[in-house]
Amino acid sequence: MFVRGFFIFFVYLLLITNLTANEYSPAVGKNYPDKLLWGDTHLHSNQSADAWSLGNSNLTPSDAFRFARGEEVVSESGVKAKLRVPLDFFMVSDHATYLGVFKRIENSEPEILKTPLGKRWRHYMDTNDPRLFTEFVEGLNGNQEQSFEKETYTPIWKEITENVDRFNNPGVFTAFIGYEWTPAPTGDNLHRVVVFKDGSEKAQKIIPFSAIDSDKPEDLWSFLENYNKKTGGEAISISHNSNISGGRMFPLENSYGEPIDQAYANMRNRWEPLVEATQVKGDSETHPVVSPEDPFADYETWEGNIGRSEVNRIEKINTEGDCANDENYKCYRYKKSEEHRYKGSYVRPALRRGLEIEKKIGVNPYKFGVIGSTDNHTALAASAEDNFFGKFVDSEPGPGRMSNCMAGCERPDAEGSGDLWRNWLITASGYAAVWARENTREEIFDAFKRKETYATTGPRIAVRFFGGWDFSEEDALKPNFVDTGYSKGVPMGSDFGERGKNKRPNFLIMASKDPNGANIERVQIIKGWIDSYGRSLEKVYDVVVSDDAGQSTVDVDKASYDNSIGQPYITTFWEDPDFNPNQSAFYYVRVLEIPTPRWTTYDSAVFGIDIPAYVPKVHQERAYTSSIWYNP
Amino acid sequence: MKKKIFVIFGLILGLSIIALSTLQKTSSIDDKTIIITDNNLKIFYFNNLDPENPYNKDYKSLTSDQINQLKKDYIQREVLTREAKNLGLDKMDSIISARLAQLGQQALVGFDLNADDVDIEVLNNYFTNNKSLYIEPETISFSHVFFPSYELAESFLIDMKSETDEGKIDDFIKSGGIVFPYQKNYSKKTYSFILGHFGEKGTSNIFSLDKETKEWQGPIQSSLGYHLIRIFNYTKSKQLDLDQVLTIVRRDYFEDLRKSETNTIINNKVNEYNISDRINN
Repeated sequence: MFVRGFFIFFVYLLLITNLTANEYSPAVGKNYPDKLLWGDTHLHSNQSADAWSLGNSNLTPSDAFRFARGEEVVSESGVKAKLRVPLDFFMVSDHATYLGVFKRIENSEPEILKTPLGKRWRHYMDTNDPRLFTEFVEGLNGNQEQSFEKETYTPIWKEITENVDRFNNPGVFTAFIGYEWTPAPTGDNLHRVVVFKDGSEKAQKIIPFSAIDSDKPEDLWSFLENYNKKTGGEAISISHNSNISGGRMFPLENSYGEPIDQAYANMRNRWEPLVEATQVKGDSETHPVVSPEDPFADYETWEGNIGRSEVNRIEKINTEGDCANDENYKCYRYKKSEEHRYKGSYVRPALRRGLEIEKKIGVNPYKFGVIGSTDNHTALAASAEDNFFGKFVDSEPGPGRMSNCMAGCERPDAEGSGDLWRNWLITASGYAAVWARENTREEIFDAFKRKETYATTGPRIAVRFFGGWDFSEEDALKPNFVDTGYSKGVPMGSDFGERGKNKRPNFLIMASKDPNGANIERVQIIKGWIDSYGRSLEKVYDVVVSDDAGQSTVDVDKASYDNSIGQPYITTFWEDPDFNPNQSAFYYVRVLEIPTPRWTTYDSAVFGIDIPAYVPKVHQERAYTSSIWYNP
Repeated sequence: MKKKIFVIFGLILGLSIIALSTLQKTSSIDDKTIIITDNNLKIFYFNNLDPENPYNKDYKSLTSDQINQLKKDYIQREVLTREAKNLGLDKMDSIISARLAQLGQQALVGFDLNADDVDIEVLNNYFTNNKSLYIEPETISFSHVFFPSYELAESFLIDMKSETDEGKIDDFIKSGGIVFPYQKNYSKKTYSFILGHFGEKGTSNIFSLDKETKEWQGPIQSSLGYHLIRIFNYTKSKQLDLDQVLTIVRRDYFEDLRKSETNTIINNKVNEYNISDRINN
């Protein structure tokens, strides 16, 4: 009797457990992100002082939004411009320093001319006085004497934010309010864009925090925290161009020279969840010096001419062949004594450094996700190789842009730097990809915060990446791939769930080509981990490689390629063969396209000009995802 | 009416050019003389600084060696510029020509148009004459199942068509194909939206399907693979009314007006020139 009763109770318990484990309604628990949205959170219009002073006096933030949502606009240099496929979300991030003032001074707007600086600068404009430029530069440098009162910016910020609201169309096209914070102490780039989740009503309760207010990232994050407390709204910062930060974007010490502690790490993680890892001023994924075993590490690498403070840190590593030409920037590297700077300048070594710091202080300060964006100053968010409108007006389409320089060649050789950069060096990159539930400010912003994002160098390569302990090879082939990914694992940007006994981390990956672009050559997983001595290491695993990898269909003369090689679509399963459960690790996916012509090659064909020998003609565009982290 | 940037920019540019040319006329000793003044050296220095990098040295704090280097660079620039001009290269270079044309246009054309000034009747006329620009694009709603090959898609379609129980067909569809990177269902999407997910060929194939039937159709090819498609709704492009697009019409009207007035000004200027067309003469 007792045994029978126990049996009935056991069966009842089993039924109850099953009922609670599997919901009756299939839709329950499936509220996961199923929309892949494409955007750019970093673009400048004529409201940015540098864009304006270097020639973009006409294209406004509204033009930028129109272009991003697929309308035809005419570029500053008179060329008609249109995206092949519209973007889903977009942000104009004009520089906070002198935001919109040059335009207004030139227009002689009474309010701005009432200010002492506005009046003086108007006079300088009228008399073509070079002090206009000196004082502008001193202001950027944080000289308080060259700043406007905060109130000066109130009507400008109001106009800018309300204009953004007019372009925001929930469900169809998301327009974010934002700006750029632009400090560069000793020439090292510490720039960040600031993205607001909110509309103009809340955003107008502050005035953008600029580099004149402070050049310390900690102060920017405090500002974001105060905005949150004051308004109930939310904003985050996204760093960019770590590649030209002289190692200061991902440092070992805070801005006061003290070792990074838990408070810094928590603050950074809270307010800066993302890094813009690729853009017009080069790619920041990794560098051949820090990733010598990675044959694809040297992609759109910038060095040798990236700011005056860099000049004493670099040397020419080769003077023969193509390197005989001083303009071949590929032939420069940091001196041996300066090589440590690479580790603080690129995403992959920063992810590794994060694990090392975590081992010491218990918190990883570099647990960030990645996106790409353009940073174009032309109001045109164009990053396709055959539809590229450059960084400034001087690199808009034309036969001269391959040989001319940003802001002019043959610059004065002050401190030995000479020309800032030749425009052939700029990169037609990149875009931000986001997995979100809906195309709205709230949903995309939340995706930013949970780092369910990835970067591409321009092509709209679709990538899904899930990590777990219980995936199987069959899971990768089933139509419910995404259900399985979320129910049995975690997406990009997350931490692994609890490890089962004797289990290894395994992954589901789906990658598909840009529907209007090139096939995929290979899918890789990049793993970083920390050994028992506290040293970080990295390894690149080829997960799927097309049989014809290494071949190219590019015809340089015609600037063409075809999709007879590579694969349009890949779905796969991968398990870490080298897993050590006692070692912290991160994993991310990199997808490489088959070789395609670089923008300079398209220019050569369109404008009938020769390409200098040292300018790359063919490249492999790519996507890389936010990581999934494992902690013992 | 508010003055626009072009006016001021044009005036500054114009005055600068006049001032510069007057200065050059009165002060130049000969074409082989290069005069270095503190002011033109300063301008040369500042014009060649990097505005994104605020940590350039102040001109005043340049060392004498740096000033000497700057002079050398300035002289070299001047010599090369003059030599190029003497050879007439400035007239042959397409970049210089394009930039000068752009500056010329900015100097010639300077006006602002107030969008509130126009009468609604004018806008109505403009709208009536340009109705074809204000059309709501066609949209399509459909579900699809994605396959890596034509054969798999075709065999799935045959199996599905042999099933008669509607409920089972739904289950059948859920279990078919492989994961598509974008959506399974599309609701009222335009051609340009579908283009971003299916590529040119796929989008064209989808819009070419029979839009009346509610049956599964295909397989059709996209740039990623093969699809079975079931169309639920198709809306033809539709002519919009003025009140639906008034803001856009106003913007376009002024844009057209600006272009037309620009052309008039430029054409008037062109008429002041003697054109000698030596092609076929």
